[in-house]
Order: sequence, then C-alpha cells, then structure tokens
Amino acid sequence: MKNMHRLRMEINALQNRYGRAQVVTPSDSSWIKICGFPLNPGQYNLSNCTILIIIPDHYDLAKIRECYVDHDLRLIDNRGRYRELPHGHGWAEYEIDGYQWLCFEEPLGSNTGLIGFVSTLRAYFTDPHKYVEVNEE
Amino acid sequence: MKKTILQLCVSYSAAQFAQATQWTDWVLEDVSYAVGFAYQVNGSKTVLIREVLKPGTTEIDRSRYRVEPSPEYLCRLYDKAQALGASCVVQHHTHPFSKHPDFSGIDDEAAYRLHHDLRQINPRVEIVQVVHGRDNHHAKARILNTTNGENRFDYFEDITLTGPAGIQKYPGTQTASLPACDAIKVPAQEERNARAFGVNGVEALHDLRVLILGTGGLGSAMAYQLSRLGFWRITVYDCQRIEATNVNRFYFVTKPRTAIGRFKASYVARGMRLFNPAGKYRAINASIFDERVAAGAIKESDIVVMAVDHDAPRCVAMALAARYGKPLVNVSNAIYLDELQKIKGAFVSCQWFIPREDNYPCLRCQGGINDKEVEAAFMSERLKRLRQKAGYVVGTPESPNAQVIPINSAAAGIAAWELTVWACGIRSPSPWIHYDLMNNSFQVLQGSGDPDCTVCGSSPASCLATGDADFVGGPKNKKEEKS
Repeated sequence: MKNMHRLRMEINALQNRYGRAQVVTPSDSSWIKICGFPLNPGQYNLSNCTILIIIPDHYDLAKIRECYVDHDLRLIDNRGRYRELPHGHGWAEYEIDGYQWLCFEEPLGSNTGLIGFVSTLRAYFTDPHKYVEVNEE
Repeated sequence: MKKTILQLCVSYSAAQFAQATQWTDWVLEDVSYAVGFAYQVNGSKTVLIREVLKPGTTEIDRSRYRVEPSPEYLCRLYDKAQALGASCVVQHHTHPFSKHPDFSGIDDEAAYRLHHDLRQINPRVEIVQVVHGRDNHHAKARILNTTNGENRFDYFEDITLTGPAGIQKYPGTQTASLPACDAIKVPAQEERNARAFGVNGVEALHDLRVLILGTGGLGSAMAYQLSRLGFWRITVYDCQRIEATNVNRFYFVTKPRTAIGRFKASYVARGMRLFNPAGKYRAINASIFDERVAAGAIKESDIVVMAVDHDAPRCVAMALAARYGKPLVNVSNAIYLDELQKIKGAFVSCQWFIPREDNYPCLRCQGGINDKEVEAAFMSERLKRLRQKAGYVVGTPESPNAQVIPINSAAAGIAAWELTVWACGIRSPSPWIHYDLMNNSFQVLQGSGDPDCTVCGSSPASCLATGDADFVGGPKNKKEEKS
C-alpha cells in the first residue's frame, strides 16, 4: 500500500529540482532513478552519479532504506587514493545492473519521506569524510 | 442541466463544519470555502474536508443578493488547493432572504468560473456548492459534473459530521427522511438495550456500519458483544484460520474439532448470523496488507475497530482510516512476564483515533506504535538479506504472547461500551482508556498530536497522507498501462 498521493507530489518536486528527464520512475513508482546526481569532483572519481531508490511497498508507513549508486563510484581520500564508499556494498552478490547498494537510512520516526531521504543523501555526498571518520577504525 | 445522484456526502469534523457555516449575519450574503478530497463507493460520493478557508471581511464584497471574494483571496484558495493536492473545493454560501434556498444563475456562473480556474491546478478538480437558507434552517447542495465536456449539476442528499459526538446528519436534509420514533419496532432481544439507549439509540446501532479488523480472541469477543448490543451491520476482516491454540479464547466456538482449520472471519460472521438473521454480517478473508480489499472495506464502513496483534497492520489500518476520514478504535491487551515467567503486568487499552479531531490523535502520536517493529515488518526480503550479509543487525522472530480469555473479554467490554455510547450520541468517547488489571486501576489518558504528523497532523505538510489513491491516480494509471 503505497501512499501514491504523497509519492507523486514528491516526485514532481524532485523533477522540478533535478529536471523532468533526469528523474525517472515507472507507472507504479516502485523505484525512482535520479540521473546526473551532482557530486563534488574533488572528492569523487565521478562528477555525477545515478541513484536508484527502491520505494517500499508500504511507503510512507515503511521508510526508504534501499538505495543503489553507480558501481564504479569511489571516494578520493586525502592522499588521492580511491576508496570504497562508506556504507557502500559493491560486492558482486549485491550488484543489480551495475549498481552498488548503499546502506543509508532515513531516520526512524520521522516523516521526511522521499524528499528528506534525497536531501540527506545529498548531505552525505557533500561531506563524505564525515562518514569516513566514523567508519575508520 | 440537473440530475440527482444516489448519494453525496460531505464529511466534516465538528470544528470544520462550525467554521464553514458560522455566518456573520443573515442580512447580507456570506461565503466560505473548504478544500478536500473525494472518493466514490458503490455509486455514492464522499468529499472529505481537509481544511476550511473562510475569507476575511476585507477579502469579500457582499450584498444582499451577491457575494464576491476578492481575486487575492481566490489566489490564496488556489494556492492552498495546489499545496494540498486537493481534488475538491466546497463553496458554502447563504441566501439570507429565503428559508428554502435554491441555486441561481449567479451560482451557476460562480461554479463554472471556479472550476475553470481550479482546473489549471488540477484537471480533475470537482466543485461542490452548498446554499444555506435563513438561519441555517435548510440547505441544498450540488456537485458540478463536467464529464464529456457537458456541465451538469448533481444534487446531494446529506452532510455528515464525523466527530466525538458520533456520526450526525446535517438537519434539514436528512431528518425528514428518518422514521418517527414510534414507527421503529425494537426486536424483543433488544428491548432491554432500548431501555438503556432509547429507541433512537437502537436505531443508530442498527445503521452503523462497523468493520472489525482482526478476529482472533479479542476480535471475536468484540463481534460477540456488538452483535448482542444490536449492531446489525458488521464486517469482520481476517485472513487467518482457526488453530488449536485459539479455540479456548475464540467466541462462537461450540465444537472445537469442527472449528479448527476454518477461516476466523467466516466463522465469526456465521455465528453472528445464527444469532440475528436480520443483521447484515459479512466476512472478508483477506490480509490487511491487501490494499484494495482493505481500502474498500474501510471506505464502506462508518467506524473501524482494530483488534490485531502487531503494529504493522495497525499502521496500515490507521493510515487508511485517516485517508477516508473514518474513526478508529484500537483495542489491545498485553500480559508481561518477568524473568521467572511469572505475570508482572496485565493491561487493557482502548484508544480512539478520530481524523481531523485534535483531541483524538493517531496511535503513533499517542506513542502506541513501535516504529522498529513496523520497520522490520515492512522490510522486503531482499533488503533483509542484504542487511544480514553486510552484518547489520536484523531482529529475530518473536514467540507468541501470553493470552487469556478474561483479559480479552475485559478489553472487548470496555471498547464495546465506548463504541455504543459514541454511536448513540450519549457522550464523547474517552481518547485512551488504560486498565491495569494487576493493580486494578483505570486511567483515562489524553495524547497530543504532532502537527506535522502525516496521519493526523494539521500543518500543510501533513496533508500528504490524505487523498484517495483511486481518485488520485487509479483510473488514469490503468489507462496508461493499457496504452
């Protein structure tokens, strides 16, 4: 049971923000693909990436938790070396069509929805080192 | 061009209706607008009001025969309709010189103009007009139907107020059609009920359409009590079958061996029909997660009684009840054990959620929903597998909780009483009754709603949970899929 009313309004808002052609979704809105999601070129090996967000069957009662990014996306550390994405799982068994799974979650109990999830994702990609520090031993 | 439709119901909360129809005086015409969502069940249409926007004195030009909101106010109305994604706008206005008002050509023009402007925002928007006669004695209402490029007004039958005072039909349209009290024949088995609740109360119970979600030990107890109280229109909803561990708590079971393996809902409905063949008792053997069936059942009911075990189905039912403006009663009980498996606590809870009523917020706002449990229940198998392999913690399946029949009966008794006094209009229900059986203490609690809650909030952001899925995208999507 998806809240299609909410989802359509949010997809419209995303299309206004990123461009109608960039935000793609099937008629049942089971997933949303944002193409050309901007990244900081100094921090990533790509200047933009594609984000695939799986909309849960019971959205918005169920939070968005399944998100995939380009399989080739790597973080550039302070020494200029490529690193795996923190919270990213690019192992072969998780790949779907060239994507890697990003274990990224909308906070529990909030009503932020798709817009909030994308905003948080944007913050995550803007300041990746914050998450690297947390992840480092 | 006129045509009368089967039924059109405009559903307000008590506060919204008062706001929409509180006129300054009855010398000059007055107007108010309300925005909401419309949905259709079996040919009858319901408009669920989300927000009332009344123009201020500077935003309106009034005379005895004409009322004209300013363009600035109308822009505000269009903005609101767009922000909410509303599918319907209701225009109330007065005819101060007439007790028995009717619509004039000016009203026709106003409806056409409003429709013309609003369809720029939403091409499928609908306009409902209500005209009130002097001192609110009578009202008439109609909806503008513009299918196939033809403008037609369909006339309505009633306005419904669903709130703490029960379900009330707006006088002037519905009262006349009610039978006189003397004409109502109370069946012998309900004679004592009639002494308690009055003949009109018994009649209200006969007409109220109750949906019981979950017919386990608690749900069957609710069905048993409500059918004996004189509720004649009950739908029971459950997808499970009776198991050997259920029969000692399951009402209506007389021969356990023959009951095991049968659908719970069908069994309960059959038991109620045997007791009262005149009643309309229906069973739906489906899961609450089957959206179309659950939404249809909730649409067709007047009130939802929820007697389920877990928070995930509670969340689904709550969201659907909010979407269609139906009051919901959550009945639950729990037995807590200590480390030595001795009873530490036993509780019964009866919570009311009435959409659009501030004092009856949703279960999540009242703290009655465990978000982590809901999260685990809604997580897809693929995601569970991904999380498990990546080393993220995944919850373990829980064993069934302790359940005994006296606690089910206590919970059902409290809920059935609250439901009955609400349906008969005797008093408003208590928002949250908490009964501690170990300490024999009763508490009436009052939760507070979060204004941004997407289920029961009042802020513009919260409207995202409202709106009929079928209306918003159903038919259009089907066409798209075909093409």
